[in-house]
Amino acid sequence: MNVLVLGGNGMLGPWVVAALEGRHSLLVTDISDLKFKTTAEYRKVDAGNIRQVVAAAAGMDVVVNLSVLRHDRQLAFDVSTRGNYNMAVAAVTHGIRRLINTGPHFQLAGPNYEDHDHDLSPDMPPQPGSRLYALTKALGQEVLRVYSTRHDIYVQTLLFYNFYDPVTMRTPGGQQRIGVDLTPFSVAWQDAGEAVRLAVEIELGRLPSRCETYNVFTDLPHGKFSNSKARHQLGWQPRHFLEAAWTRR
Amino acid sequence: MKLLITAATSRLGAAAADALGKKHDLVLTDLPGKGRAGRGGTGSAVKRHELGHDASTDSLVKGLDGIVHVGYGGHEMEATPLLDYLTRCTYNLLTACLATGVRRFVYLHTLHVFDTYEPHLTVTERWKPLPGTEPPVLAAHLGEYVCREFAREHHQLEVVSLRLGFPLVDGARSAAARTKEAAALATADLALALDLAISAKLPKRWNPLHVQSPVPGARFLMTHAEEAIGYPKKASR
Repeated sequence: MNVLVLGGNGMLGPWVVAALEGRHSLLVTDISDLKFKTTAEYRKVDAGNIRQVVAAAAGMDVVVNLSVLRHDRQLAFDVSTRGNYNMAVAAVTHGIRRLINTGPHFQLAGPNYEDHDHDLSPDMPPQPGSRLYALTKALGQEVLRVYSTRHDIYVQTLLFYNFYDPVTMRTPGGQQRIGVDLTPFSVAWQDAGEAVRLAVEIELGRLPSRCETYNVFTDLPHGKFSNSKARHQLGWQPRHFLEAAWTRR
Repeated sequence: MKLLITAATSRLGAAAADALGKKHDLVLTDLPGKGRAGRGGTGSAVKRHELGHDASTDSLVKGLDGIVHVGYGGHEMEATPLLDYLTRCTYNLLTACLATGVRRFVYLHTLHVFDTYEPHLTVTERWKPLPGTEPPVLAAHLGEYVCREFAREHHQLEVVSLRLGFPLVDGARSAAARTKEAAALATADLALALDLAISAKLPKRWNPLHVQSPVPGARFLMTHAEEAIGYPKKASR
């Protein structure tokens, strides 16, 4: 399939590209110069610019949106909210039926859920709260949900939070967590990329609806969230369990 | 009460200013360059403001008792600026409310989010909004989403989303009835509902309410509006 990747230079981009390369024809895009090695075609595209996104989506079968901006308020709305609107308009314009969206788990399970409950599933009504990052991403997700109700578009949203190198047990910030527990929504980079690949490749007819959301984290004993939908629906099987973090030394 | 009305040069903003101007001290605002006359419905001057995320928005709302923020129908723009305005600027206003202690926030939305339901259904505030992808409705829906999340998280806020009937008809309730439009809203009824939304003691932090004129064969039930602010029955007595 022809796959457009938006925000490919982000933290997850190289892992998603590694999972898809060789299986699909990729057009990787981002607003900045490419920061990792790939044989895929690369183009500078601002996800917040509707003309650029629609142009880049021509001839594509799938759009994968990895873009996110969290800190600047204008850019957060431009990219995290309207980036999804731009992707939806591009899909309608070009007849693209498969959209893969990504974001943090708290765009759905905000503090109102996370501070109080366990067994949190990806099928709950979103309660992102009012933090900029969570709310702008939740609004983008809502745009895609609305589009999926009115157009022949299948939206799959993969929710992530903390990523780990499973060998060093370090996060992107360099923090090493061994024997001190972790955020119970953590996953190894490789397993995260594999989840996106499965969402790209699953037969659309196997999806229960045109708007599906998955919690993507490895099997963890906390019981805080549930990843069973990603396992059962996508057939995702994490290979790294990050147990060094959540077992006592 | 001292109130801010946004999109004050729009028809709905001007109607809101007319409705509230006799009883309240109004500050009217609109985006720079928007509207020809530069004056609101009461003839008052309109402060031009971007509603950005700088200190000037805090200054704009400081000392107010409430804000009437026009969502649907406030601006005729292309999709991109409209989505930006009704998400980011709504966020900015609510953030400024938190920073300056403004409690009451009234968002003017639309009953068009229920267009998909068959006309024979008893659509109250309990029904799920089903917005379409047309930018004016989608953007207004996202603006309400922002309001809801602020109300959910911040106990100091009292947020009302008035989902207004259509078309907006100048004059008394009888004028709305004469249109034969089942969801019509007379400006006289808008005035009643707005004043109540601003001044009533609210039962909850988050109050999505349906407001149309109670015309014969009215399209929408207003169960929660009656309970929360006494519109339309109590207000009409």
